[in-house]
Amino acid sequence: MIVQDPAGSFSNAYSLMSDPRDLSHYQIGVRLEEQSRGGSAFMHGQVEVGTRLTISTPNNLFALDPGAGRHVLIAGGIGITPFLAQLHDLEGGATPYELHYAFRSPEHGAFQAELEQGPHAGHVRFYIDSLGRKLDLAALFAGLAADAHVYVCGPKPLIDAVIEGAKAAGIADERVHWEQFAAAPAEGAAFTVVLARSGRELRVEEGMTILQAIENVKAAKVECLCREGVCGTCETAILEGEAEHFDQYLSDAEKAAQQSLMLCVSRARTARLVIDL
Amino acid sequence: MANKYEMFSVRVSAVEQATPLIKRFTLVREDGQALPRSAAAAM
Repeated sequence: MIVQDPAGSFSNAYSLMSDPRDLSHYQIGVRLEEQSRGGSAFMHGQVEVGTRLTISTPNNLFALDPGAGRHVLIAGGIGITPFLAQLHDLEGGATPYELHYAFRSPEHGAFQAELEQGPHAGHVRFYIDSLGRKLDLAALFAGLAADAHVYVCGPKPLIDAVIEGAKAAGIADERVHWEQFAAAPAEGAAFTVVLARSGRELRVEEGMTILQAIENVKAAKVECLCREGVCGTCETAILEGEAEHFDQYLSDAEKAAQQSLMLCVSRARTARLVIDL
Repeated sequence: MANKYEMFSVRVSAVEQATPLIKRFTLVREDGQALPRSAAAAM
């Protein structure tokens, strides 16, 4: 879901972690990011009981595959939050499931106690880096049932390791699902973006996003709620050139089609990119 | 073709420090009504 402060200065996307069927309240888990754009610093520093926030309806970006014979969930750090919501759906269901939860050190294992004590206790394994208890992905994938689906949420290195490990184990892409947490900085060289409607040309420097380049000179008005390639509000058509996609909104097929891009995270693969704005 | 998100106002009813870096926030509607159902609840 998208969460904004009342003044609209901060807007971030967070996963619902409470039971999706319990509509009396929502719960979100927010990690204080050192490289925060302000959103998590605001949530940690200024939000207290009684604070008013503006939010969107939660949108399920990371659904469990109903065709799976077994759900194998792999969480790293704050990536545990979307799984906490899913565990409510899995509880008491017919499909077996298991959660593998890796974190840095004992004090960073968020919600470990409730996972250990609750109805999921027999389904959860913890991997604590500082204690040398590491998740052996190769062994996990080697023993995976043919109809099992793998879901991973956490930092990029974990997601990459799962995707690569699954590939090496011969697990089909359709059985591997991922959601990236802590938006990876979209890296790449500078390029020129052309706003077709006004003809304005803007330089997007290394370390800057197209959205920032547009906002810096007020070249156009762009609505963007999450600013991290999740919500899809800043999707814009590509007229010329190709994008290097960094979002989690478009499907692989849509990314390959090069019809549109998310201005908040995606970059140009070509020196010049003409967009319908 | 941009996504349409319905935005609404909530109040923070609880804040819990889950780890040194993670806080859990509980959000409720100010009028005490039920919150909108999420897509995740459809399963």
